[in-house]
Formats: sequence, C-alpha cells, structure tokens
Amino acid sequence: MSGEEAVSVNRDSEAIVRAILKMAEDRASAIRREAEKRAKEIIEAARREAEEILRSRRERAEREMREEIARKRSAAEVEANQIILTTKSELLKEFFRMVHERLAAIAEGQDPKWNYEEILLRYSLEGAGVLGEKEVYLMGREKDRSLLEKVVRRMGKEGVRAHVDDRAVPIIGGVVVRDAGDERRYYNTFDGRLRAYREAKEIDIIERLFEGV
Amino acid sequence: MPRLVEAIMEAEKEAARIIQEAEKEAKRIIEEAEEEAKRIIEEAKKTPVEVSVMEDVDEEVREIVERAKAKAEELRKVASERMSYLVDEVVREVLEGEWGGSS
Repeated sequence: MSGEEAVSVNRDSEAIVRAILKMAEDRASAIRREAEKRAKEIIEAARREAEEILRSRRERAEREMREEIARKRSAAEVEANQIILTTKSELLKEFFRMVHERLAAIAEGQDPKWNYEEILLRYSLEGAGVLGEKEVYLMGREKDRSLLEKVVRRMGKEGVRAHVDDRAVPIIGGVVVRDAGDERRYYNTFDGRLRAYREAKEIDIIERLFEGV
Repeated sequence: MPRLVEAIMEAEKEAARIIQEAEKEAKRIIEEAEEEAKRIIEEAKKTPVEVSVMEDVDEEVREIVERAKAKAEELRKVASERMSYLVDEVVREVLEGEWGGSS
C-alpha cells in the first residue's frame, strides 16, 4: 500500500466511525426525548387525576356538610313544633281542667249563674222522655240525694212517676235515668256531656283559644 | 483493511454503549415521573379540602328554637286572656247543648 492509499483508508475509517457515532448519538437523543415526553404525559395525567380527586372530595365534603345542615335544621324545626304542640296541649288541658272545675262548682251550688236543681230536673225529664217510660229511677251523687228527691216530686207534677235509686254514682254532677227493670239507662251526667262535647268540639276550642297567634 | 474493520467494530461498540446509556437514562426518567405521579395523587388524597358552604346553621337552629319559645309564650298569654270568657261559653254549651244523654 502506497502512502497515499494509507491516508485515504484512514480518512474513510474516520468518516465511517463518525457516522456510526453520530447515528448512535442521534438515536440516544431520540430515546431521551421520547422518555421526557412520556414522563411529561405521566405527570400531566397524574395532575389531572389529582384535580379530579380533589374536586370529588370537595363535592363530597360540601354534600355532607349540606346534609348535616339540613339534618340540624330539620331537628330544630321538629323541636320547635314540639314546643308549640306541647304548649297548646298543656293550655288545652288547663282549659278543660277549668271547665271541669266550673262544672263541679255548679254541682256544688257555688255558681249563682246556674241553678243545679233546675238542671237536674231538665236532665231527668229529658231522660224519661227519651226512655219513653212513665216510671223511672234517678241515679246521682250521694250528696245529691235530697235534691233528687225534690226533682222526683216536681217530675210527679209533670206526670212522670220517678224514684231516687238507692245506688249512687261517682260523677261530677248530673243524673242517670233508668227504667224500672234497669234494662235501659239514659246517661245525662256532666262527665258524659263534657266528654261528648270535647270529642265533638276540641278542634273548634283550639281555634278559639289560639286563633291569630 | 483490518484496521478499518477494527475501527468500525470499536465504533459500533461505542455506539451500542451510547444507546444503552440513553435507554438507562430514559428508564430512570420514566421511573422518576411515575414516582412523582404517585406522590401527586397521594397528596391529593391527603390534602385537607376547604368547603365553601358558609351557612351558620348553629345560629339558625338557635333562632328557630327561640322563635318557637317566643311563640309559645305568646300562645300562653293570648290563651290565658281568652280562657276566662271561653270557660263560661263552653260550660253553657256543655250544660245546654246536645252533648249529653247517651242511652
């Protein structure tokens, strides 16, 4: 090999080596670029997922707080309704206690607006009329016996034969009228009248007591 | 010629080493990214979330109950005023109305 030829081979080999190394470096750069691109995608995907997690947690926390608020508000409204209902119930109970007390006072002859003997006469005649009997027995409180005796006499003048029953009944006032055989009774007591009145008129009383409040 | 072949073989070895290094680095880059991604997600799971619901429900609850108590007081006052004449009316209705007399 001549000197010129040797120089030419050296130049060729250097060029080939450079080319091989250049290709390798280009390939290496491409591999790095691809890895960096992929890494960036991974981080971006993670950030998106993190945002979704935070959004979802925030929504859940807000929903739970709204539910808690609704629960507390609802419990307060129930408590408020309970306060009002309890108050109305207590006042209604107090009202009917007062009515009961007034009826008891009337039966004791302590209320000048009412004549208890007249009431007993009216209730007894009404009972006899409903039973359709010419002879009836009157049952009342033990302490009303003498009043009932007077009523019996007055009923006689009205054409009704009446007697005072030996048995007393535990009532506030009024009378129970029965036939001679005690097969039928007509209850015209204060207790029964008050009970029937309350059943029929309680809603009306509630309105009259609390209307406008 | 043997020197040319030898030079090319050396160059190919070096090229293989360069690519292997790049591949190792790429693997490291991706592994680091995956670690970072895990950290980001874990942090999102643990970070305290702030809730923007600003209602002061405890105050509202107190007001609801206080309003009911005030209304209950008003009911007591009004009912007490009405009771005295209503008792008279109801006693009259009980004694004179069509409520008694069950047989």
